[in-house]
Order: sequence, then structure tokens, then C-alpha cells
Amino acid sequence: MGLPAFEYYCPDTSAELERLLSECGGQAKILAGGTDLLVQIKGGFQSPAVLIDIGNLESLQGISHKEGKGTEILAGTKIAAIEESPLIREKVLALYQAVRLLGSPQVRAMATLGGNICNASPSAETLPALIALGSELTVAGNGSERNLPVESFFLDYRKVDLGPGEYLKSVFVPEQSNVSGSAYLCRMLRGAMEIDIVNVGVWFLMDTEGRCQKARIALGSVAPKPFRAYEAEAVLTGKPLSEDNFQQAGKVASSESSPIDDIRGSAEYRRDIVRVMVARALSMASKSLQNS
Amino acid sequence: MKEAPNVSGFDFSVIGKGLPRKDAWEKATGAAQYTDDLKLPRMLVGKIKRSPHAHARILSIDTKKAKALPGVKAVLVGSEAPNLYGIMPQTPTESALSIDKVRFVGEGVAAVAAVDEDTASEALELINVEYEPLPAYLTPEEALEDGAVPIHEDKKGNNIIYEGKQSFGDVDQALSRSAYVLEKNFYTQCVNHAFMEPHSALARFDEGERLTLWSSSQIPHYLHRTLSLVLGIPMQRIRVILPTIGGGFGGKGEVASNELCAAFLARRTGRPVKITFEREEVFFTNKGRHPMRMHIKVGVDENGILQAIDFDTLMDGGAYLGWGVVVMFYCAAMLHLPYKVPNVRFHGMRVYTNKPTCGAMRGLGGVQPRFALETMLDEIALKLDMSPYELKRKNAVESGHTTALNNYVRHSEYKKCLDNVVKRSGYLEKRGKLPFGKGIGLAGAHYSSGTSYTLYLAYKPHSSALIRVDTESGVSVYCGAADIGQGSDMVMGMIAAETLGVPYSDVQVYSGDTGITPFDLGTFSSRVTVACGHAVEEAALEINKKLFGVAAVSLGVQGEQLTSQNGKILSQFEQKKSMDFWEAVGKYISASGPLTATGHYTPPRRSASGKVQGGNIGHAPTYGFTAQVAEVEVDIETGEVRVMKVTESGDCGQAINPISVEGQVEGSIVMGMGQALFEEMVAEGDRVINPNLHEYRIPTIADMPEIDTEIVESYDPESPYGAKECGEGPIQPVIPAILNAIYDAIGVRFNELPVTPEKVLAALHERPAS
Repeated sequence: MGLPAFEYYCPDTSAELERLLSECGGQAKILAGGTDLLVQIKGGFQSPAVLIDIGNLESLQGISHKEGKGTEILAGTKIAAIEESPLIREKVLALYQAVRLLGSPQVRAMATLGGNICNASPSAETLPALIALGSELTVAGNGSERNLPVESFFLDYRKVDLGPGEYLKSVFVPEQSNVSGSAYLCRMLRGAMEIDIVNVGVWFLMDTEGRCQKARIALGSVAPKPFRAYEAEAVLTGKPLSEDNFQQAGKVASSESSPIDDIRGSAEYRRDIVRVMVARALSMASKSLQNS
Repeated sequence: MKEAPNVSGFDFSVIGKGLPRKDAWEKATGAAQYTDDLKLPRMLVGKIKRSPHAHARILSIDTKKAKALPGVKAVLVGSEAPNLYGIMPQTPTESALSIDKVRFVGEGVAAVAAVDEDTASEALELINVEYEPLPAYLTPEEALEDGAVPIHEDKKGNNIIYEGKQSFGDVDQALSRSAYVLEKNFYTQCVNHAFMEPHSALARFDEGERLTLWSSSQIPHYLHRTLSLVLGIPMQRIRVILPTIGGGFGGKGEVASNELCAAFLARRTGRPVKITFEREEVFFTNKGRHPMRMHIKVGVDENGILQAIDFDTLMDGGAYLGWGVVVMFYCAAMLHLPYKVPNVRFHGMRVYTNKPTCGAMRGLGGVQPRFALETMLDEIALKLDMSPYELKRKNAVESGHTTALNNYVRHSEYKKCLDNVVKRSGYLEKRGKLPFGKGIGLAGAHYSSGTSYTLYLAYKPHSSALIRVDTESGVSVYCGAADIGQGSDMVMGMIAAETLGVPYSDVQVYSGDTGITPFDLGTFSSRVTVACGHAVEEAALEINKKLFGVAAVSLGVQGEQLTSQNGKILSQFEQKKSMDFWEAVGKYISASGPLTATGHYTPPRRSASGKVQGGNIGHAPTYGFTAQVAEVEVDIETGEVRVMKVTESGDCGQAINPISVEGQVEGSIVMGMGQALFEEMVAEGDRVINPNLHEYRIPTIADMPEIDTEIVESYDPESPYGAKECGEGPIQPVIPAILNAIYDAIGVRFNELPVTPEKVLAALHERPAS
């Protein structure tokens, strides 16, 4: 296999998981689907001394919905399960739009939502969608739990807010009202199996006058971590949901992004595309609202 | 299921019927055995240590620690395998491992055999190589600068591998008299074949120094020769076997270092050794399509009739020779077709650089000039206010054409391809009339159906076949052709079945095994259907002749009046006079012993008249033709180009198996689209930074256009069952058809590949406001 030696545990209960995590301190990595972690270990970018496989933990898998509250997705839920869930399509459409573009069918069959979040790639598909939808994470460990907004989980490039003994337990996406619109869009160099040039999640709440009461615009692949384009959100807030304003928000979002040159595209091109994709995502969200 | 139109006048029962590929199920379910699936008792795993330097002298290699590692059975370095080889045997430049110098990042410097992969990898880390770095030349221009260190020291003090010149007619005069001359520069990028199965070889030495090598190769014969040369053992003691092969596209058309290292390590350890490349090793060793800079002038008269082509190219060859000189002169020959060009001049230089070697890749020599020329003809036609279709049709070759290089086109339905594709796609109604951002483009091409010469001087037949028929095992066809996934086994089986008048299911084909199958040069130059097909047909006719002798006596008719059909041997004039095919086989064997026959084929030898550099290269017994129309949509805000539909009309003669033809055409279109829009081996400094299929982007199923292919009515009477090539022609027009469509969509001509969204967007921004 070409993997360096490591200790391997496969707990059957959450209690055992917590015990293992606290015993190993910072030495352990959680192995979920392995689609990122094993590739990184094989490539020599990480060499954790301990791997804790959560594949047996049924308590970390599943999607549930509470009417009027929102949708909870446990961290160990497979991306394919999210993609195939009618509940997700109905209640969290933007997340569905994101997961169906994650990797290949083989990758989606193995990868988990928690893995995609904790791997913290700046271009992770699920993150802009989850941030835009105002999702919260539940982090557990050391006998307690805490909640935080998705966007504050990311501290820096591939750095997340997980202390020793902690693990990501679940994601909660609040119920969307019938006057909110959301969408996920990305720009790829080919139709599948891509690290995106830019990915965009948008959400807004419409007031009784048809204006934007509140907006969230989340961007991936154009900064060291996924982030909210607060200035672009401000541009939209209080304004009519019009193409002109979507364009304007796109322009501002573009100036808030800080992409780099790489093999997939120049920083200049990415900034240009942020403008286009933010405007398009807003337009798409607005259409979803009209159709609902 | 498509049936090929039958214009031969024969009523075929197997040929032209779309039969599902026999190997499809096994491949789709994973049951097929590729080389890496093979395991032998006591087998060791081999690995190759690779150079981190693009150009350096090797001062020393210390293998002591690696040898001492438990589980390591042997370590090999270049000086222990010093015989040089190359696919062009006259000018060998390569060795199993580099001997005293490395010439590209990723070149092999040592190999180990160990009990498992982890041990072998660990051993590589323990080998210490001391290098003295030399200046690395990453472009042909750098390598040609004054004072550049020769990458190969045996050269005459510079890095020019070969400079080729050909001139026919008076190009300067023809251009000066042309009503219109277009002059342009083009560049094509470095692309890799991206076959699904990486190289893999398994070597075993038996008692008495007999080597068996299982390998993923297109060229069992040249591999056989090279093993003999490099290992220093007679060919008679070597057997090369091809298991199932997961594609080659030219990339397995040369001997690879894993094949040689596995053999050396097996000899040294007395145990079987397997070496399978990682994907990055496939990219490092490359042998993909040559990046070419091209400077071209094309002249036409006032009616759009071609007067002259003046073609100058600088080819980036990478670190070794490979197929290089052949690719250069193939390129030169490609200029002469599929249009009548009275005056042609070619000048090319292939230059060494410190990069992975370039070589043969599907449609070799043709893809780069065809991209340039078909887009130039499009531009010229529009300048003359003429439809590109009309201009191409006016100049298209027909059967019986002889080019200035002396290529003889015995059969062409190219005009039919153009007519058919234009009609089916609605090209004339759409071109120039679609909304901004949508476009349609036409391109056409040809490709050689085989090659007139072997790579070394030899007079033996290029292909041969043996057929054995008996009542126990049915019809067994033995041929040396390499089925690398293109489906040649099935083509040979269908030709035998048709000729013998038995169902295809009665025939078993054994191929690609130098121990049991007769001689064949291998799979390259789209030669197999015509060459090996001839041999199989001839052998089957000989079987018939023997059986007709038996049946003639039984039926009381003359042997020459008999025919084989539907499992019977019967009189052509009295259907009642018939006997069962297998009864005749039984009688023959009872009376005369085993029923076998052989057939063979040698293409007509042609060369350029007079003494012309590379004048033997690019002549083929016959040529395939194709025309394509691409329809694109350009996202004018992001620059994304989406190929919506490709319509293709192909002249492959009579299709033996139309389903396989369709597969070849669709595969060619997707591969060409990859080079047009997505693919490029990108180097940062001296290393390839995308040696993987994640960042080296071949198209995915999500990028597939709608593809509509049709085989035009065609029959080459001198070919086996009228057949011609279809595996390399159809990639030729893809790139220019797409680029002509992009021009139609947004009014921009791209001369450099790939056409990325970023380039499109930049061009749109620069476009003068209309």
C-alpha cells in the first residue's frame, strides 16, 4: 500500500471514540471515508501515529428533520447518502447541488460530510453551501458538546477549531422559509472530478416588499479558507432582488476574494469568475424562490 | 446497432454486422486479467528509483544499504545493463536505466526487486546517488542556444536530433503566383495518452535461461528483439506474451524500462519479477505527442484551388530519440493529403530537451499539422467568400490520386464524407448564422492504413496468420497482432468466420504471443486490419481450398464451383449439392491429417521518387478518410467552451465490425477534444507538476458531446473485405473542427492549444467592439 506504520482503532460506541481521542491527545486522526486522509498519508503530507476509524459508529450516521427547526446531518454520513436523500433535495437544495459535484461516484460512496468539513480544503464543495444556509456545527469530546457557526470553524488554511479530544459530531441546517432563496454554483475546468476554480453558496431572505432583508454569500477556492463575502452581502441587503444588484454584489465579492495563481487558473481569472458566478448564483436562488 | 452499408455486391453473413465486443463483459466486470493481475509463485516486486534532476552527471550510486535491507533480493544499476536500444534500431539512444547521465526528471537510475512493494519502496530510499547537476534545457529554443551543453554527448556538439527537409515542385514560385496566401504560426502542447492501464511487465526465467515476459505492449515483436539485444540472449530463448491490455494509443509502442528491468532482475534473482508503473511514472516516461511550433504558408488561386504549402516546424523531442524521426517524416507526409497539393515544402527540426521523451500517439504526425491546416483553410475560404465546405470539396482527393511525395491513394471516399457530414449536421444552414456564442465548424482528414516499411531492413511479411481447424476445438486463428483494446482479435475472428462460412462463435483467436502465434510487426500506424486481415483471409481461403477438395469428391462437383456459407460447403450453382462444414473437416483430417493453413501480407513498397530525405516514410497501402462537424457553445462570461455535438462521417472502407468502428470514432473524438480544450502536461521549472489524472484533465463522461457517427458507403477492392483504418483518422479533424466552431461562435481564431477558458476570456476582452 505504501503507507507508513500507524496504530489503528475502530470503536463501536461514541463513548469508546471519546476515550480513544482523549487518550491519544493530538496524536490521532479520525478516519472516515479516507478519500482525503489516505491520499495525504500516502503522499507523505501527513503521518499520524494513530488512526481511529469511525466507520462502525452508527451513532454518527444519518439524516433527520424536525419540522420548523431544520435538518441534522451526522458527521459520518456518506456524501452519496446525502446526494440520494429526498429529504436533502426537498429541504436543503443548495447542499444537494454541492454534493452531486463532489469527486466521482466512487469518491462520494466513501467520503463523509464530516470528512469534507474537517479536511478543510479551501475548495471543499459542501462548505460554501453550508455557510450560506447558516448551518451550525456540533463539536463533541471530553464529555461535553459545543455549537458554532460553520464559518467560524475554519481558523486558517486547512486549520479547524478542534481541540485535543474533540471531534465533529453533526451539522445542523436551519429550516428554510418560503421567502428565502439559496443556490450553490461552481466553475470547473471540466464537467466532473475537479478542484473548483471557484465555488459559491448564496442565500437570502426576502422581505414583504420583495427586497433582500438578509443575505449570506460564501465563497470557496479563492482564499486560504472558505469565507463569507460580508461587503457583498451588505450591498444586497435592503435592495430589490434585481439582476443589477446581483451584478453589483458579484463585483464586490470579487474584490473581497484573494485567490492565487495555480495550475487551474490565474488569480485574475478567478476574480473575474467570482463576479460572474456570484451574480449567477444569486439569480439562480431568486428563480428558485419564484418557482417555489 | 448499426449495420454498415454494403456496396461490395457480396452478401456477407458476419462482416458488417455490429457484434458486441467479446471482451466487453470481462472488462466491465473486472474479470479480465491484465498484466498486473498476474501472480506467479515466489514472485518479487520491482521498483525503479528516479532522478530528481533534469540534467546531471551521475558521479556514484551507492546500493550497499539497499542490498542489506531484509527482503531485498537484487539491485540493478544502469552500468549493469549497458546495451543501448531504441524503436529505431539504427540509432539506439536509450538504456534500461541511465548509465552515466540523467536527462529528465523521473529518469530511472536504479531498480530493486524485493519480496513486497513496501520493501522495494524502502530500498529505493536507501540508494544514494551522487549527481553533478548540468544546465537543463526545457524548450527547444533554449537547447539550441549557442554554448548549450549537448544532452547527448555523441551528438555533433548541438541538441538537434534531426533536421529534415523535403521539397516538391516550386513552392516559392507557386506562392508568389497565388491569388491569396495565408501565413500563420501555431503551437501544440505536450499531451499524454492517458491510457487506463499503466505499463506493467512480469518476467520469469526458466531452466536453461529461457525468458518469458508478460507485458502491456503494442509491439511484441520489437519488444522481443529489444530484450534479446539488451539482455544479450538469443531471440529463440525469449517468449513475449500480451495479457489483456488496457489501451496503448502509441504509448506502449516502444519498449519501456519496466520491461527490461523486470527481465534483468528476474535473471539475477532466479525468481519472477513484476514491475508496474505508478501513474506518475507513466507521465515521467511519457512518449506522448510532440509539442510543435509551426510556421505555415498556404497559397490558393482565386477559385480556392490549393497551390502550395510551405511548412516549417520545431519539434520538442524531450530527452531521447524514441519514434521522433518517424514522427517528423510522418508529419511531412501528412501535408500531401487529403487535398491535392502540387507544391509542398517541409522543413523540420526535432530537438533534444531535458524533459520526458515524446513519441507516438494516436494519429502521430498528423494531429498537429491538421489542426493548423484545417483552420487555415477555413480562414482562407471565408476570406474568399466561399463556404469552407466548398473549398475543401474542390481540393479533396479521389481514388487513384498520386501525391507529390508519391503516396498512392488507391481508394478514397473523402468527398462523400464531406457531403454526408455537411448534410447531416445542417452545416450550411447554421454556419455564420448562429447567435453570438454559438458556432459550428467543419474539418476533414485522412490517415494511413498501415505503413510500407519495417523499422529495420527486413524482407519478411509484415503480418502472418495460421489457422487450425479441427472437429474438437473448432476454428483457431493464430496471429501476432496485438489487441490493445482496439478489438483486432474480433476483427480477425470475423474475417476468418466470413471466409470459412461459419458463425463467429465457432472461431477462437489467439494473438500476441511470440511463442505460439506467427510473426506480426505489432499495433501501430493503423496497420492491423488491412495487414493482418489479409493474412487471416489468405489462410482461411487456403483452408477452404483444402476442404473444397474433399467436398468436391463427395458431392461430385468441381472444387472451384464450391463456396462456404452458413456452416455448409455447397455448389454456387446448385444449393442442394451441399455438405456440412464440420463433416468436410472430419473427412479431411481422417484422410490427410491436421487441417492447417497459413497466410501472410507484405504491403506494396513505395517511396518518394528520387532521393528524398525520409522518402520511405508515410506511404501506406491505403488510406482512411473522415469529416467532422463540431458544434460549440461558448460561455462569454467565463470563457468556457462546451462541445455540444460532433457529427462524423467516416470512410473506413467496409466496416468489419461497425460497433467497433463507432467505438474507435467516439474515442478519437473525445481524445481530440481533450487536447483541444483540457489536456496539457504542465511543467514548473524542470518538473511536470500534474503527473496524475486529477490535474491532467482528460474529458469525463460529463463533458461528452452528443456524437453522431456514420460510416459512408465504401469498399476498397484491394483490402481484405474492403476494409481500411478507423482508429487514427478520426482524431485528426477533431481539434480544427472545434476551433473553427469557436471562430464561428465568437470570431476569434486560436492558434495555440489547449483553448482554456482563461484564453477565451482574454481574447473576448481584447476583441474590438463591433
